[in-house]
Amino acid sequence: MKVPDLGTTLTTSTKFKVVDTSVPKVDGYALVKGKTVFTDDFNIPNALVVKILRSPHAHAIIRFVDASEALALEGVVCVLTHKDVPRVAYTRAGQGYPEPSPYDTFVLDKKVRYVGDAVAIVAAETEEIANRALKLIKVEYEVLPAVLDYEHASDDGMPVIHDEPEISGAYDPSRNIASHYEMHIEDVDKELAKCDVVVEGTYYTPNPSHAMMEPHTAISYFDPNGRLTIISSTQVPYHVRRIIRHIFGVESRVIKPRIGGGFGGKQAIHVEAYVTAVTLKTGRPARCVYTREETMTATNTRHAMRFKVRVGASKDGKLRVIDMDGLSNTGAYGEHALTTFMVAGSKTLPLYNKVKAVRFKGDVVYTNIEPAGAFRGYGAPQSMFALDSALDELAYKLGMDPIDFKLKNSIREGETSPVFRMMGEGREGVEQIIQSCKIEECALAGAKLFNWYEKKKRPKVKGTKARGCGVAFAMQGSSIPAIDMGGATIKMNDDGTFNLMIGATDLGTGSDTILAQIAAEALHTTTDKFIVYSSDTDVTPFDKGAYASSTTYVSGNATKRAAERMAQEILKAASEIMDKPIEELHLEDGKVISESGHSITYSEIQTKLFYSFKQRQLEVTESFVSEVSPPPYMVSFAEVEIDLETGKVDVLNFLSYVDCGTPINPKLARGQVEGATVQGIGMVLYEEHVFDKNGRMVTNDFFTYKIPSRKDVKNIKVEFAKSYEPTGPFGAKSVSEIGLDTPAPAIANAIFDAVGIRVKKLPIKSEDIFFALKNMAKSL
Amino acid sequence: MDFVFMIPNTEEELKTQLSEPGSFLMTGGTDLLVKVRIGKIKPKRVVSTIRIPTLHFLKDKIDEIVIGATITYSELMDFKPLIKNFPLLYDAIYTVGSPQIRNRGTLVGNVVNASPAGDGLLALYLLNAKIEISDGSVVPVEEFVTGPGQTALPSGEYVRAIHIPKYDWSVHYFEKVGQRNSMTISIASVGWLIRCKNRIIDEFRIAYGSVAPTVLRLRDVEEFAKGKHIDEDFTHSISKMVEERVHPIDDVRGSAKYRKILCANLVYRMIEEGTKC
Repeated sequence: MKVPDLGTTLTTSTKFKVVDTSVPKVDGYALVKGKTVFTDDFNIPNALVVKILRSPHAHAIIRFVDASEALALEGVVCVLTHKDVPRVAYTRAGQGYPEPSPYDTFVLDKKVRYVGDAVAIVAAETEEIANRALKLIKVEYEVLPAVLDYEHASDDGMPVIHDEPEISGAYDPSRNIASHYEMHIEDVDKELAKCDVVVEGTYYTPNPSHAMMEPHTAISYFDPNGRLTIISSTQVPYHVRRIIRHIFGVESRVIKPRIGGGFGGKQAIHVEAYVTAVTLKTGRPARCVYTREETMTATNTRHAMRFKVRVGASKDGKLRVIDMDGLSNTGAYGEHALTTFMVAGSKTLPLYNKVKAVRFKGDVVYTNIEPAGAFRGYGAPQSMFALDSALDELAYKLGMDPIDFKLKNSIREGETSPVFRMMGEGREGVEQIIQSCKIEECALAGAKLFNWYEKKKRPKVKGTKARGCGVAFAMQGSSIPAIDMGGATIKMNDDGTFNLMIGATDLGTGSDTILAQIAAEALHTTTDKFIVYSSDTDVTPFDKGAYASSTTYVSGNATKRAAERMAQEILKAASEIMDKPIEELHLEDGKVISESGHSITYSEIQTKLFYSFKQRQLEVTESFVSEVSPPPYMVSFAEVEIDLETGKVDVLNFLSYVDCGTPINPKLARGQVEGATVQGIGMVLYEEHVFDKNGRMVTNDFFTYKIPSRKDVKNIKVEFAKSYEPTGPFGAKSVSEIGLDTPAPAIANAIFDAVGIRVKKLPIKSEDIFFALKNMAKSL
Repeated sequence: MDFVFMIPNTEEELKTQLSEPGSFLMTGGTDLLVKVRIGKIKPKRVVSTIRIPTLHFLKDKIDEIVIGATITYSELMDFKPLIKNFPLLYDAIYTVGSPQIRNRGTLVGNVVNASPAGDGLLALYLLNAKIEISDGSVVPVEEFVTGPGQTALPSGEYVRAIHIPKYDWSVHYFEKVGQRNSMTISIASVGWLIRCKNRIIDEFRIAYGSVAPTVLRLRDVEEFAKGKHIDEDFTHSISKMVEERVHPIDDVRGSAKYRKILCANLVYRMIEEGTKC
């Protein structure tokens, strides 16, 4: 196969002025200079400190709470228990409404369902007093047997975790099943019988933590007019507002300042309900900053999943069957339970659209551990580890290079997959024809750059070290089609600047910057002319929030539309001022220029419109919701070195070749892929939560829970394929999640290449490799 | 976690302040403060040595170097005589924590902390370092450390300095096996020193970390090695002896079984190392 000709299918000029350049982040300096930008930096006078009393038991009924001693402590303002908050069932998940997640959560309940579940809310004048008060509250529990092993959560006779009558939207709570999904195309068993080579395997992925730098934080207060205001470190301010109204029946304004990372961990409401309860009760401002331990033990993790995979192919290398039987652990509550499980299928299966028969099914079960939630990749990294590993094994058995095998069976431009229509987010999906897919370039140019074929020919073992290479393919989506909506408002100022107001939630990703670039490109000016403000539910237009790889695509398209309409407004005003027909005018470098060579600056236009000529404020708002979700594609190559005497795995080289359409800001796009790669390496090699026999998480800090350090990441390289997505803003697709889909399979495949051990359980610990090597030596 | 924090300026003041019961000594605080924060210890008083000039010194003598109590790892790493005479200690310190930790943490702190996983401590065991205590006594590090987190430091006293005798070694080796490459506590660590000629061992020292209640010097293995030729047979015998002598436990970092075999396996690094003499 030769490397395809580049750039022949681009439908629009790629001569951008602002887009596809690496302008500095609009908030970069403030962040590196340590300016007061985060939620906890807001100094709200007289704020109470809120702390949560948490359950020491994995599963128990609260018989009795005696807070009298705590209340007697000077400086304690209130202690709230389940009797003091509305008994309204909801889901913490911040997603499209109505949510596909079960309503199985209360602000405080009479039952606790994991070690760390909230029992009472304490508000005091100082943190010290609040902490002392926590120790003075007496709680009598009736301890129930707990469900700690998710593989047996729905066995007969297991304790029922959600027996509350108010629960709705769960599949079968009496058997601890939060959600269930199944789909099939043709008959997998019949098709498997026709295959020449079949591979079966069971794969396990764990429940890592997001480990974002800024813990969950929220402040609430009444503004001078009595409007409840919540400042929150959230990815979903509009969903927070809606859920707070649902629980407390109160309208609010939600402000999202700078966010110190979320990765999906802040796509749920955690702290907001607690501070709101205190402010509503006391009338006073309330502040709650989670400790690292709370962030680790009492928010969300990734869903641990098990996939039993069967794949089959004919001798000529045609993939005929993919059969995935899954089980997902949602922990104590079901936020994102169904949707993460469906994404595990919908963001992996369409990649191999040549397959004859497909089945994808399984349960999402409740257990008595910390609830799982949204986490970058949202199910796809879990299932791609299983699927890509199985396909790698299949290629090996067929005697084919995995690149050839995966390319032969993967999707191309102009093609579709029935999975797009069948699987959406908690419901049916939408049909789509792929308009941009450079997976062939990603694979072939990537292989060349990585020296794949040369490296594969090298001897594996040298002295006490073995080296190997692995490749993994991935896709993701760009937004949730027909559900995700984002808006953008652009207002022109008399100094030639624009206010760009978006509900889109920059959580450190750089979306404020890239949206300014998109607006600048469309308005023929520069990024520094944009004053970007995000997000404030009283000021900025609605946006679903930052998740599902949607901001660049959905909010970007909304911004582009708004900028284009603003351009029309400017031309119209200029035409009136200059007394020239619009057709003779065009925009260039912050000016309107006529065919006759006359020009007027944006600043001059708005100044005239303010003070002297047909007076008005130029301002536009546009929204965007997509009918499709164009997938980005990626091929990653990993080279590992294994110490045969200790079993330790080092990732020496990791190359990702990405098709994300036009990278609006290549440096930020690269950062997204690099960051996801490192997070992926963590998931593969280091990050594991250990629980004691009572369900208490032992690894609740960075001392015991190890994320990769700079020294664990040797050589990461990111390249972008030349690609243009016609439906995206200036050709862009998403790039934020896809980077997490490949590290697990690429590294596992590389380990197989190096030492012949097929790792099916993450994280891959030195110890496991070591004993597998020993067993292999024994059986030889 | 309220406690009184004292910062004496002289050793006399330090001694007076330490005499009060329940006082904890602190220099860099990289270990103590972590323990305080997670509630593992609840000190009433913490006495810092950090502003005492007479404890901040490094001496390069003819037969030894002397490291004062408040010398940080980073300062040590910049001390030329250290890397020249004790490359093993340099290698061990290099693996401690992160640059930030090394800018605060001290070797003396590592000794008094007496962790079986102490990287610097393992090197000091191998180098036959001696600990100078404020009461004037000087004791070998192996006698100073009595158990995990326990030392022979008399109440009210403090460590003034570490003395490391100079000696010529042909081969030095230190390795720490952790799941991660930095900011990691070892699953097991090993170090050895060999004086040899034409691969015949004249003198040999070997120690392990994280696999027993204290750092473990294997004296009988060292004795056995004398006069032996470094080859595969030799490392094989050493490896077997090591496996019988280490007593690791199961914890979050690794199982006892893995650690035991790991220790035995690490010996095989010697084959390549041994060719250097």
